[in-house]
Amino acid sequence: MSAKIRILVVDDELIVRESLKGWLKKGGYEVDTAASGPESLEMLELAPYDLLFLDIMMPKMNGLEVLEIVKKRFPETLVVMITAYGSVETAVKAMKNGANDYLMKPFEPETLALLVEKLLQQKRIIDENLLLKEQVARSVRFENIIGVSEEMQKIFEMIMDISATDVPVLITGETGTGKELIAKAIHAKSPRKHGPFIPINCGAFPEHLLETELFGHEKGAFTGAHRAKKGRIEMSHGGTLFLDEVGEIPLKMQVDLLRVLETKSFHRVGGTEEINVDFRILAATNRNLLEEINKGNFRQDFYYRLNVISLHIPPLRERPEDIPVLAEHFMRRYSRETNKDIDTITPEAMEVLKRYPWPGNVRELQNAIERAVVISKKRCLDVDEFSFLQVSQKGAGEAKSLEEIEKEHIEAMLRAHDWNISKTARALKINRVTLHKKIKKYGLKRSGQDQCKPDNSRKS
Amino acid sequence: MSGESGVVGIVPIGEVKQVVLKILAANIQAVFNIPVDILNGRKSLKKFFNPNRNQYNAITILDHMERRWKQPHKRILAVVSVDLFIPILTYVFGEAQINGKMAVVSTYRLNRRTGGGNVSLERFYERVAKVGIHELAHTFGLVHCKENHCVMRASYSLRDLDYYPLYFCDYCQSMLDDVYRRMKLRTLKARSFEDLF
Ligand SMILES: [Zn+2]
Ligand SMILES: [Zn+2]
Repeated sequence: MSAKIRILVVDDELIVRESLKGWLKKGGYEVDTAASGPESLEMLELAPYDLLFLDIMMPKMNGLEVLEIVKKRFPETLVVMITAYGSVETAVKAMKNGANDYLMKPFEPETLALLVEKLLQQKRIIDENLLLKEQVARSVRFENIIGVSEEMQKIFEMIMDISATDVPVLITGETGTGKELIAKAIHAKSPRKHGPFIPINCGAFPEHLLETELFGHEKGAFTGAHRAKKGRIEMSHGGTLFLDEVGEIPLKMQVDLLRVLETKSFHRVGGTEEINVDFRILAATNRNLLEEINKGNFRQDFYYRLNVISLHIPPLRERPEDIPVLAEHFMRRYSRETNKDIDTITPEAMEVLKRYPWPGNVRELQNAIERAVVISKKRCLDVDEFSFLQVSQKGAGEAKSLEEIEKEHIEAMLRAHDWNISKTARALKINRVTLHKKIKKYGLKRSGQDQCKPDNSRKS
Repeated sequence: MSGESGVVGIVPIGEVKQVVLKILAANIQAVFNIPVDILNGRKSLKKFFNPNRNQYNAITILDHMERRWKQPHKRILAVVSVDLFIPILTYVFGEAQINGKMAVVSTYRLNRRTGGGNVSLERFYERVAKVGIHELAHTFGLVHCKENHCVMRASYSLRDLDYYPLYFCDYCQSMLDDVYRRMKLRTLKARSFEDLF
């Protein structure tokens, strides 16, 4: 809530605009004027107003028409209709259509003063309620995880249940579902919360680097090891070690890690000293580990060690009721970060968001909102701001070639994984070389700007 | 008085009693602590009369004065004894250009007693001074004040007007001092009221 009350006076008569503006300014309010309905709507797009004085009789677009749009798009703005003598009936109609009050020209000074006071009081209560609602909405938040769906509520409950114990938890879910946030929440709710939370993305390191990253090394353990270095296992002493993308750990190292979990001790690379550690292990994967076990890529004993309790996060498309709260959360966050006054997502745009399949899940939604906030020049995010999502959203009934569908799917997956080739290839279950070939074949390009507007050249 | 002109000029338009002007000037000088002159005004108000409303348009008066006035004074307060209105309001006690140069006060309604009859002369002069000070302060950029004990409190009835005092609260006073500093205005230290009589 900004401290200064902002009022917009809409009237086609200059003299009314100016004298009402002058009168209100003496009250210390910030006052703007608009000479027509369309002009006032443009101004409302750009900045929020607490109170609108709206003349009923205006050419082009009359006050009732403006009122209807204001009530729909800027419901937080209170509206007082201004009417001339003899058009009280219209004013009454306006009240039925959601106007908060009306005034007949000319007004009694005391009436105007009392009315403004009354409405601003009302506005304060509305703002407070909005704030309250936001606080309620915050209770659908659990340690930075947001969700109103039954699925997420169950996950929140489960986190509470498993936090108290020290058992390993295997978190599964598609890329971008927020597995690390869940791991952090388990840590934050656990008795180890004052200890460190040490995450490591096992898919991000080649084998030899992953080993030193996890176990650390002694000085001179290998060329370039000028000094001893603690590994993540050692750093997690007293806290939680989070193995992200645990399915990427090579088989040999799975044996080593299994040993660490069983003995709670290890030695650094190139060292002999046994180091005792006390940590809780959490792991996450977007792979089907049972399938990987069958293929011989993952050790069964290691799997059972990690998967004492399993927690599955459903993809966003299976819980569309979470999309609005998440979208609004990210909108608030990015409009704050970019210092923009964006405070709504239009119902139409929300419909687009709810229908989109989000192959990259919450992370993709987050990126999409960020992009929309950055490109938006208005107070709201509308369908236009999400045009970059529509490419892969052509009507389902439309006849498409298999190639077209493949192209769109690959493009969506690339976007969902921030154009990380390895991750996208893995998600598509093809190898990197194949992916590169397809990118070339379809002429897919990573270009932030191209993705902000529908690219016509791409239409077949 | 010295040959140098005051900061505020008080200008009667139409028929206004000299004693009203003098008391108003003395009060403004005391409360604002800046020199005030009483100037010669315009005889006729005909130009500002609105036959539909049978009243005089305060905004037209201010606009006219702004265009015509060539006095060296930084602020002009016009005084009229006719009923004023602004287009959106049925009547006003006075009107001012916020952060502007011109203000006007009407004595027309200020002698009325709620429930009929007239108030004492003393009360009448006090009301004229309050409205005059209030409107003039608007030209210095002051807006309405929430403080009960302040002349900048908005008053839309004679009852309100009688309730609020003739002086600024500390907050409004310091706002005014800031404006003076920005304008590099010379204030009066101790100038006797009698100078004006
Ligand atoms: Zn005022
Ligand atoms: Zn005050």
